[in-house]
Order: sequence, then C-alpha cells, then structure tokens
Amino acid sequence: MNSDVVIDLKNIYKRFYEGEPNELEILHGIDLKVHKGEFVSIVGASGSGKSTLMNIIGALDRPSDGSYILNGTDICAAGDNELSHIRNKQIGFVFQTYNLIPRNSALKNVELPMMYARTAGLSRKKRAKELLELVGMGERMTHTPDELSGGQKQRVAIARALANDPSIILADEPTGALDSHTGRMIMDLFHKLHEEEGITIVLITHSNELAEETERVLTLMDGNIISERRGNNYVTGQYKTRIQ
Amino acid sequence: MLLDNIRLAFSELKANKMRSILTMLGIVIGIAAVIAIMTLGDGLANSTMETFGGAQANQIEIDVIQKTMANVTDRDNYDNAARQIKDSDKFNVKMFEDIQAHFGDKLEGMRMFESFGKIESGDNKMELMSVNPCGFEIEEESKNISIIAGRSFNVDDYSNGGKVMLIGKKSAEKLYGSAENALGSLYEGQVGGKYLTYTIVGVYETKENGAAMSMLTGGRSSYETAYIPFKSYLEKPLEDMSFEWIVPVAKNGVDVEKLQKDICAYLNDKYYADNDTYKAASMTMGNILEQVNSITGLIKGVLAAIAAISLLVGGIGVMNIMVVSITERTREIGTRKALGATNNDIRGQFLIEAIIICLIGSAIGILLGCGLGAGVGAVIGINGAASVKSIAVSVLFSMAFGLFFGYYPANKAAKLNPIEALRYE
Repeated sequence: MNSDVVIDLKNIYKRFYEGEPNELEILHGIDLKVHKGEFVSIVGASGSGKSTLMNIIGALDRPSDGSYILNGTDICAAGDNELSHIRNKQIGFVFQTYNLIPRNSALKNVELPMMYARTAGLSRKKRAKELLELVGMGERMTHTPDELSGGQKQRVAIARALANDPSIILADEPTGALDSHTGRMIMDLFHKLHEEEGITIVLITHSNELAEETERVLTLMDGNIISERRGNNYVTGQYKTRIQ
Repeated sequence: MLLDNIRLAFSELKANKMRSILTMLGIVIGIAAVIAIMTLGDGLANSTMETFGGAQANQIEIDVIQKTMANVTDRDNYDNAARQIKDSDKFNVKMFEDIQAHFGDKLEGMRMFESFGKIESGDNKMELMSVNPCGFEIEEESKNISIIAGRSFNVDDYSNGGKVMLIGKKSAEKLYGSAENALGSLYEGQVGGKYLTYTIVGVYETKENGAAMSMLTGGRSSYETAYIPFKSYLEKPLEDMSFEWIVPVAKNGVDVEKLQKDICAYLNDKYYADNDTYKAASMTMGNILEQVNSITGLIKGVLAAIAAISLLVGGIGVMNIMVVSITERTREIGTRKALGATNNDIRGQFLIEAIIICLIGSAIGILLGCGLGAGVGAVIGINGAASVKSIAVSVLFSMAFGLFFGYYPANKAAKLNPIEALRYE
C-alpha cells in the first residue's frame, strides 16, 4: 500500500435491516482509493448510494462488510468514541445546508471542531481567525449565520472543516443550495485550497458539470462504481487561471 | 470544555428568554416554597421550644384525673366520670406540704398561682394573677419579665399576703403617666363584682416570646397581667382550698421524668389508694414539648411534602423543555457529532444546560424564599431567618433535579444517530 493513500476502501458492502425480510443492500462491494492531495468527485443520481458511501467515508457509519482504512486507522474496528475522534481529526465535513450552529458567531462555529479536540481557547481563536481569513471571511467573523448569505455561510463551513487539519475534506453537494455564481465561487475556493494548500478533497455531487472539473471522477450507479476517469475539464492550476 | 458548555448553555438560555424564564419559574416557586416552609417551620418549632423549653421543662404538672381515663390532657372531661369531682378528690395544701417535705431536696418549689380574670379600673383592664415565689419566678422566666421601676415581691409580701401589686409598663403609663409615678400609688379595681385595693410596688416590662406561643395557647389575653402575692387574695382560707392540679418544679439536674413518677406514685399510694374514681397523674413540660414538637414536625413535614411536589412539577417542566429543545436541535446535534463530538460531549452539554436552569432558578428561589420567610416571620413574630441548612439542601436538591431531569433528555440527545440527526428536518 502506498504511504500516500488516505482513503482505502476494499470490497465495501452496506446492508440495511440485516437479517430481516426487508433487508436492503445499498453498496455492492465498492473499491476505492484516494491519495493525498487528490481532488476526487463521486457522481451519481439520487438512489445510487452516494449518501451511504459518503457516510461510510465520513466515518459516520460502518460498512456491513469489507475494510476501510482511513489514514492508517481501521474504521471497521473502531468504537463509537473512536469514530467521533476520527471524524474530529481526520475529516472535514462540508454540507449542502451548511449546518452552522445558529446563534453562534462565524468564529465560534469555526472553533467548534477544535473545542471537541480540547484545543486551548486562545490557540483555538487564533487558528479560527486564520482560517476565516483564508476563506475570505476575515471581515465577518463576529456575524452569526443569520446575518450571512448562503455563499458566506458555506465559506465559514469550509473554514470549520479545515479547523483540525483533517486528512480529507468531504463535501456533500456543497453548491447545491447556492445560485450558479456563488456556487462558482465556492468551487474556486475548493480549487484554491487544493492547489495552494494541497488539501485532499472528496466532492460528492449529482452534477456532472462540477465533477468534470476534478482530477478524478467516479460514477456511482446502483451501488457500484461503474466508471473511473480523469475529469474532462480538469486543468492544473485552474484556480489561478480563472482568477487572472 | 466545561467552561465552553457553560457558556453554550447561557447563550441558549438567552436565545430563548421567555421559554427559559417560564421553565425556571417552576423551580423558582418550588425552591421558594421549600425554603419559606422550612424557615417558618424551624422558626415556629424554635419559638415553641423557647417558650416551653427554658424554665418550664423543669415543671411537673400533676392533675387529678379519673382512674379509667388514659389521656391526661383531657382534663375537662369530668362530665363522663362515674361521679362528679368533689373538693375532697382534689389536691390540698396538706398534700403540698407533704410533697415539699418528702421530695424537698429535689424540688425548687411548688408553683402556685391563681388567675382571677380581669381586674378593671375605669377603662383600664388587667389580668389579675396571684403567685407564690416559685410561681412568679416561672412567670419571670417564661415571659422574660424585668422590673423597670420599684421592686419585686419580698419574703414578707409572700408570707403575710401583703396587699401589694406589680403592674406592667403600659398600664402604668396609661394610668399614672410613667412607671415612676405609679410606684406607691393605690390601685383600686373591680374583680367579679368585688373591689380590691393594692399598693403598686413595682412596674415590670415583658418581652413576650412571640406570637407563635399565643397561637399555640389559643390566643392569650392581650391585657397585661397584674401580679399579687398568692396569699394576699384568697377566696377561702388556704387550708380549705383545693386544687385540680399542682405544679412541683424540679431542681436543675434532677431527673424530671423519674421525679414525676415518684411524686405521682407517692400521692396515689398515700391519698388516692381508697379513692373510687380519681387519681393523680402527670405530664412534664418535657412530655408536652415532645408532643408539640411531634405536631409541629408533622405539620412541617406535610407542608414540606407539598412544597416538594411543586418542586417536582418544576423539575418535570425542565425535563419537558429539554426534550422539546433537543428535538428542535436535532440537526445541530447531528452536526456536532459529525464534527467530532462524542456521546459524552453531547450528554454533558445538555446536562449542564439543565443544571444551569435549575441553579439559576434555585438562586432566585432562595432569594424569594428567604424574603418570604423573613416577611411572614416578621408578621407572625417568629424568627424568619433561613437556615444555612435549608439553603444548602435546596441548592443540592436543584443540582440533583437538574441531573435527574436533565439526564433522560441529555441521554436521548447523546444517543441520536448522527446520520439520522443530520437528515432531520
């Protein structure tokens, strides 16, 4: 195994209602490797098993069968508390609906994963400020989610995802709730983080257009990966090209 | 982390101000009720103790009762006796002397007093009461009497039945202008149609032991008492007088219970062995005190139980609100879990929120309860200061309530499946 493999899924099955008459198999033996610094997208229509796969990659759920090694840790063998710690340190979630904590300032939201990592208050604040500046939200750190636009909320959510220096950013339809212009800006931000910070990103989307921008596109259909190829519109340094 | 959770809890409470206040209200009322009731209950018990306890615990009251009657307290129930009580059934002075002679080394004295009802002079009314030295001493102690002008009775007054009188300060001021002016004055008053004349030799001031006592004794007369020596006003010669009860007073350090039994046994052996219906029986103030205490204790217990129920209802209110709040925040809980919060982190967050609601509620409740206790205490004249014990108990209780009523909802939150919680609309 290459040392730069971050995600290593082997023969992953996921079944619901196991042993019951209405048993349902959603994933039928998925194999997937993601390397450090990659920008990978997983596309598929609804019902293809995208969300189930994302939950497994995000250590929110365990596979019914198969093995999943995330950055050297066996996820299948981990207990609930261990999974919490893995999510906390290794994975940065970005959701379609932002999922910021209401009534907490942008700063507090970004501090949250560090709070659960028991990082001391001062260094927490310092890091959160840096991250908000990185995503271009340095001016609105004290605003609560109610006072931010959709794009701004998603930037805060991305800053929050980066808080504990995770192995991967797991973005689930990050532009799904945004208009095309704002969605474009969020995609640019991902490209920037990928190119300039070398961050590993797994993008889950139903939009082929967005998927084609990424280094590698995996197409999921009915619980199987049916194709794996380079994104048609992937250009190295495309963030830089675009902003020039 | 703890600090973060506390901060978080406060920001949640602030975000839902009205709801937080209403939730706390239940705890506030519960705690205030518990504190006020504990305070007033203690105050009442203490004031009863003071009244009975001090001088009077040494008093032994011996009554003439029916031989078949078990309950001594029912002294007026002669109607049901086999025959009416006669003077020869009652105690007389000879028995007094006998007791004095026989138990003298253990006795401080025998309390003798007689109330004659109101003595009136013009529009001034006083309660007229004759006392012997021992009787007056007990009055002095139990009512906190101090002589502010003139003198108290002396040996001569008692042994000769001097026509001298002690009156209260208020009456002195009303009748003569001041306590000093009253001294030496002749007081002429009417008791039950008879005119009596006494020389005022002293004026006293009392510090009554509070309204609690007069509540317990069924509202003692609000008139001041005028004291005269026992022998100075007798309706018949002392030798012919009979008494339904006598009150020997034990010396300090004497086993009152034993002495009481001994005196009763002595009297029954010597004087009542042949009596067909009546006998001597007794109760010490200690016995009465025990009874009173058990009654006040019972009242206190019942009231505290009612207050505790209101606290319980308040606690259930907290639980209810926590359940609602957790349902509302399901998505938030899912997000927190996705970001790496462990089950314990989530449980801690909501437990602390519940505890803080209870603590703030109880802090306000303590203030309110102390105020209520002090206010009501001042009105009915007992000590209304809340004890440290009652405050400590209620703080502990509210913490425990927070834990108890917070645990179920917090645990529910902690056990949420993050995937379902994230998907919750």
